[in-house]
Amino acid sequence: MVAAASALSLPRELIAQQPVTITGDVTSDAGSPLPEASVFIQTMNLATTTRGDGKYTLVIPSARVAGQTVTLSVRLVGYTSASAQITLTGGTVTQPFKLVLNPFQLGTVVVTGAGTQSTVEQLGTTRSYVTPDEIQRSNESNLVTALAAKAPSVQVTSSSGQPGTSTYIQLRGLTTLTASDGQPLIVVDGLPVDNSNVMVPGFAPGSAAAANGGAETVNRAMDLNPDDIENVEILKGPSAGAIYGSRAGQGVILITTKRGRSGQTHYSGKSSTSWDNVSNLPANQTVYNLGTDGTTFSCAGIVNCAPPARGSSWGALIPAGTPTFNNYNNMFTTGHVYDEAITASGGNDRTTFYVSGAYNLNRGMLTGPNDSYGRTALRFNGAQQVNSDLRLSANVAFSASNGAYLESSNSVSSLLLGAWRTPTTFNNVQYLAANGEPQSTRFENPAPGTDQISRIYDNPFFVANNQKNTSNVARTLGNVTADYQALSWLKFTENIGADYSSDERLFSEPWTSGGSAGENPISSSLATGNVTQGYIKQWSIDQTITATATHTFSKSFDGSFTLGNNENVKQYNTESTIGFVLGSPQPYVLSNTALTQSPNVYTSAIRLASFFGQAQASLFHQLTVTGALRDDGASTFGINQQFSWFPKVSAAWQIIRQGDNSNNILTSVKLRSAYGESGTQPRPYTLSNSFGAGTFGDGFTAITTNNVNGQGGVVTQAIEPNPNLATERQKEFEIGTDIGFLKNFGDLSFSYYRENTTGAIFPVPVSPFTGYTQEYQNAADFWNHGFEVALNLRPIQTKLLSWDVGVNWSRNRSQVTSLPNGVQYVDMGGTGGLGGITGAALVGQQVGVYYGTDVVRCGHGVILNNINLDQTAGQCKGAKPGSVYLDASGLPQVDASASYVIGDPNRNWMGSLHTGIHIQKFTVTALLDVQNGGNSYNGTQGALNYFGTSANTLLRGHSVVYGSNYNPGPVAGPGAGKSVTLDQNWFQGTNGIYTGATSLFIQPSGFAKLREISVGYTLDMPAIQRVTSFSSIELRLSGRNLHTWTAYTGIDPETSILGSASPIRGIDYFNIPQDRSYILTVTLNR
Amino acid sequence: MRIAHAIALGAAVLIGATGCGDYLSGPSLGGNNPNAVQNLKDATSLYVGIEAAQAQNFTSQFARWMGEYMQQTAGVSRQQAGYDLYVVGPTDVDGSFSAFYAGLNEGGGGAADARNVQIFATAAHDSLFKGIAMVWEAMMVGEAASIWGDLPYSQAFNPAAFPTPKYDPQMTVFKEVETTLDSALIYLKCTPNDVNPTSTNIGPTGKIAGVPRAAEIIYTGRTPSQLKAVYTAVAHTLKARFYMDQAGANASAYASALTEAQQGIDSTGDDWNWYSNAALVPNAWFAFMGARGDNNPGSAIIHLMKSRISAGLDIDNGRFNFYFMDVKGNPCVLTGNALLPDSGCTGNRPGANSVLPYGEGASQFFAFNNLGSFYSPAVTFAETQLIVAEAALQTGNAGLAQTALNRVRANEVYGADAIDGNTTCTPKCAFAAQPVVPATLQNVMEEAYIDLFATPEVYNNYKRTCLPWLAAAPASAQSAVTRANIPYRLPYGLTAINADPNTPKVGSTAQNADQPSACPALTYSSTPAAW
Repeated sequence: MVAAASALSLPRELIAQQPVTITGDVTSDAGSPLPEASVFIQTMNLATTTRGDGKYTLVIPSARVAGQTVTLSVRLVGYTSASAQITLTGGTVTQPFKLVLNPFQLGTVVVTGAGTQSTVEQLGTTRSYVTPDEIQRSNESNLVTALAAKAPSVQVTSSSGQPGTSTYIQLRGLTTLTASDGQPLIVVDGLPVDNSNVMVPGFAPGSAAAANGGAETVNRAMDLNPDDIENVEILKGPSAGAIYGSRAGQGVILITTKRGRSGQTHYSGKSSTSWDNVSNLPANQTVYNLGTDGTTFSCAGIVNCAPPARGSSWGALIPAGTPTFNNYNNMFTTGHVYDEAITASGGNDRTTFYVSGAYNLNRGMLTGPNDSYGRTALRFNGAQQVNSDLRLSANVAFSASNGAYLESSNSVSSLLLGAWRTPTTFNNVQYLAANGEPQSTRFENPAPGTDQISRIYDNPFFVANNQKNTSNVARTLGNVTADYQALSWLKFTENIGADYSSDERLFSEPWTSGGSAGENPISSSLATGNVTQGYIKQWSIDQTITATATHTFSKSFDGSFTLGNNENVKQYNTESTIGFVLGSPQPYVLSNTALTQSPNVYTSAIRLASFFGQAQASLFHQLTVTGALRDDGASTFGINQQFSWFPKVSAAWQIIRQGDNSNNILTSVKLRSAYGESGTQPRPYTLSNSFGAGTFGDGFTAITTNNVNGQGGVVTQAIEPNPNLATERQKEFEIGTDIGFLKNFGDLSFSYYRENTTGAIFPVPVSPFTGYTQEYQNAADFWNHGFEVALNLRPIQTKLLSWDVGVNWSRNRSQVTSLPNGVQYVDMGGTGGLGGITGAALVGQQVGVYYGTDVVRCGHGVILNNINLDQTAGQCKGAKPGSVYLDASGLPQVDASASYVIGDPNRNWMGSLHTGIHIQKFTVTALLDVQNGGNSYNGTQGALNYFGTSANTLLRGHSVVYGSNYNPGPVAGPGAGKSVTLDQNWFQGTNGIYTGATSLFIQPSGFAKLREISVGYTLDMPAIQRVTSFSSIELRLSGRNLHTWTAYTGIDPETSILGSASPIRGIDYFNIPQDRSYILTVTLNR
Repeated sequence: MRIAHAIALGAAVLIGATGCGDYLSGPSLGGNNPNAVQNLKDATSLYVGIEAAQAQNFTSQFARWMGEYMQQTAGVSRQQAGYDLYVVGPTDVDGSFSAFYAGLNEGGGGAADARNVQIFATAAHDSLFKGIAMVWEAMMVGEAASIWGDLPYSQAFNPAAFPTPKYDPQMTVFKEVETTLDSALIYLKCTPNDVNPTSTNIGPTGKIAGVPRAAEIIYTGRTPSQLKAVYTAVAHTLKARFYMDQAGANASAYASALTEAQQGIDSTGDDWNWYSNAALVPNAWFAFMGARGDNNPGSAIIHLMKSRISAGLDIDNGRFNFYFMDVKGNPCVLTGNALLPDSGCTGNRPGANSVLPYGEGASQFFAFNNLGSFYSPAVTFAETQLIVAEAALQTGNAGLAQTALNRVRANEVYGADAIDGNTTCTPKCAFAAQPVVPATLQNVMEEAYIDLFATPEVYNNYKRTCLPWLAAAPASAQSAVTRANIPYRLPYGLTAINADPNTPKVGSTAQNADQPSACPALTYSSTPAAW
């Protein structure tokens, strides 16, 4: 009282010079404390954030206290913002806030692309976004991987557990047939950026397909630091992304990076460490010995031993006491990721900044020194309010990364191909014989001086310790933006950006490596190594200028109109040179090779010029209609089709606006509907005829003939030119609703979409007798349609405990409706040339089904040994169509006469369950990813059957009845019901990878995966602040990919042999498995 | 001022940078592919491309199928093991099938490019070059017809007029190929006999600049006059080859074949061997064995060569050890009449990994495993003379047959090798002469089977004569498609099936017109016994 009285007696000026401390609690209207809420006084550029207990403290220096009244505001994603008037008269002011749930973020301005914006309630399309918390909790180094299971209809597939390998993302199904496409455009702060994955021999894409064997490679979004991400908006289809015209056919991902805010400078430091182990491996057998036909073969005493039958495990039972080795898992160890990051952000009333630096070092789970990825990423985002009308901002990011990869998949030099074929009695760990010579199961007891003789299948430990395949990338991207408020109703925005990357690659195969055999002129069995060195350089420049006019016509009618143009230039340059015959085992450089081929050089340029406009009108703050039109000109379009129009229109009707009604059941209701068109551009250089240096191969060997007896040869390229190519067009209609109910106890979003792809571009097969084999045409039509549901519930919201739980669910179906006359199917690739199976489009089928060899089935019109099975009694006559035909042997045979649809990798539905529990400063979150239905191709199993090391082959010698207790299903033919003994012939014949039916290795691969579990605790009590000077310390223990429930018996149902270089999922042929991780993270904030 | 700014910026919005006329169609944009030649000065490099493409085509998977079907080689692992058992579908064949017309995979270098060379040659009034290109065209189309039967030819190479060309009957294709070769011979006979740069004619009186010498890879270093002579001989041999292919349906073709063969290649020095270069363009067999190694020697040829030696018909003249070596990499050592598996050189029967006599891996290739610079044979003196011998026998001229067979056995050669100093095959892979044997049909065909090792002509000979005696791969769980006979053809390629509705639907056991009668279904215990 005395103090107060004294104060009251002081002159006003003296009181005003005291600082003001504003404190309070920010809670939900249910009383739960809300951490991380932003509390700020806009006019003073002062801000702070709430701590874990929802409390905040904002100190206003005495020099700025003058008795004035200011607006104190609080903002938090998912809640309605609130504000209060505070008079600054010195001392302490307590101002609590209760925030109302706003699950749809109504009122928030979101970027809708190409310089256009809209508030959430005005969006006529479904909104999918991912928050920075969700990205950081995933602990993924690859931003694309971090999006897994975060939104409906977003399918993310990580290709393997090797560090720095690629991840594929697909939105609302496959909407194009071109093998290397199928992924959305990624736009960072308004700049379209490169997310390609160059995974082709010699690094040059040209017309070459990605290879199914070799070192893995990464998608370029890996260059982005996930910690820099402020928000990810996902425009799933043309109805939302049409403003990007001919580049948005597969959707658009809009990424906004973090900005500085005026006020106290905020610092943070993060450090995390992970322990990564292989998640799942196929089952092997440790019972049968090396050999064939039940007879064991021993290499004991045989120098340079080459066991029969390629060293397969079809020998006798292993005698008791014989040491065995688990060659399926002994090359895996525990990997670690070390992640360090620092950030600082802040600013004043004119200037804001955000800077970050992050270092990520990932030492993979494969043994040896050559499985790692390191990335240093730097970012500066700054903005300057030049004057009241002009604001300049710049975002610049640089990253440098070094990846070391081991060969995988279909190569005799890959890590697992040789490893898993190894008989269990051979110890791969001893990859050097006693005399120091490398040895493998196919070349045991090497003699001295055999270090240039092929080991046929490389020992995995030799691979891990001797291969050197590296990718060193430098990437710079950024843009400068000027926002000029020319008139009160007219604003101009210009955005100029550039994206540059340089990827210097080295690929090598050492002496003795089976992959380098056949390149030495002395002997085809000599393996004297090879080296490929080269680079990939890509750059793009993008310029967009927009003018936006806004006008409020009346209280109930306002609108805006945006007009803009965009130019984009994209350049791709690559060069690679292959050298054979290493003079010395090391180093792996071209100068150490004796035979160097001419460099392989490829360059491409694509230009885009576009005009676009968007108009938006809002009536009664309830109904918003938006229309947009883009006219895209592209250098890849045919000369007669150089510009194409892409329209979109949408309507959003807020039937019940949040806060406008007293309805306790429905808190808010919005109906939305949209239609849009976007496109997919043709590849460059498909318009005119040309001759190319011939590279000829037959699937097993390839020979470059650009230097034949000193002469350079050319040949007419087999793709017939088509000067009339136009854009491939995607047309999408979408309708849906967003409902908040029970005072936002829950919210529900529902969407239905139907997207038609017309004039899909692909190389149409043409009769080889024309002199060509393919022609790019706008040829195929197909559709995708589906449903999306997002339901979030907040069952408990108390001061001590809050619990939220949400479900995302989506279902997509597609169907090919037309192909060019006579074309039975479109080969979409997806296997990089792996035999027996391909992704395909066939009329009446879903897009991207598996197409390959099958066993002989009834109803397929098969004539076998001059017998028409379907019309012959005792064969297939009268049998159920599709029944497996069993000949007199009682087993199926391969139908070599044709290929069939043998599986479908597309999922029946995808869903995720996410939940979060907050107990004061504890936070527990979990994410379960479910993908139902769909197939994968377990080619690995097929090969291991052949070599007798798979657990399946333990059935050897067992009597079974095919179709009954073995591979149950309808059967017909003379062998139906017959008991047969499974033997080596069966597993190496029809049920083996090389001569068998591919369909036997198609497996169901739906799964449920415990994607993430995270337990966090925030230390932000005053004592911590006093002792450490940090405002808070966050501790988090996370688990990633902890368990997968699946019927698939291969490594992982999410694997894909070509990674993000192909949209065809689930092709599994000695792919590197995924990893399971435990991560400990400490974050310091100040 | 603000309004002026607004107007200026508004103009920028409306105009942008797209006012540049060639913004979307300038250099390196649109149809201006900077990575590929779009205009050729002449056909030289195109001709080199054809030579390289077909060298790969004739010695890679196509040759492996021929070898496996004829049991000269055996597919012992992975895909080749299936091919060995006739599990060969349209997808497998697609690249090889297209290679004859359009080119391998995404490259050209097929008969269509041979036509393109002719267009250049015509424009240049170069009769020799045109004639040579026509020989190449005929060689490719004729060979394809031999294997696949009915094919487009009359409507081929004209995508604008015939995007889906009709299939001509096999015999019609052969007749058209003979016509092409006749035309080629006219161009090749042109005078004067050397370069005439001023000539504006084409045909018999055109110039014969021909291919630049360095670009002629098959007959490297020959003058235009020499090229004229050798390609004339080649054209006659090819005419004879394709008459022989017609003889199964029309016995009168033997006489025509005899006439042509007698004008064909008359010296092993004029053999057409496929170019290879160990360092840059290795022999495709060599490359395959190094990279994959999924073929072994076939037991049939080893058994035949050994049994002929043991029967006193042949001597061990070096050919055996050039083709094959034992499992340890040592030369096969023959010991008189000793048969398998005395020397470790046994080969594999079809069904390599199944329980069959002689086991697996009992021998290896020598040349294919060790000679990256080996020139595989394509059109040879031996083939020509053996056509003479067979045709003479079929037309009742036993004396001529004996003379021709004797010439072959006195000049035993297999391919060539570019590496000087290679003692095994320098400068040609020549072997000691074989003793004279009676010119029976069996002896002639067995000689062809041995001499033309791993070339498609062995298969064409077999389809016509059913010699030597071969049994189809035995039925087993592993032999996924059981057959009574060795297939009579390869299936059409998938691209043709997919793109051209005119493609005939042919069963997997169908026979082409050149083989109206099936060969006897032999087994390893039938009479006569298969090898």
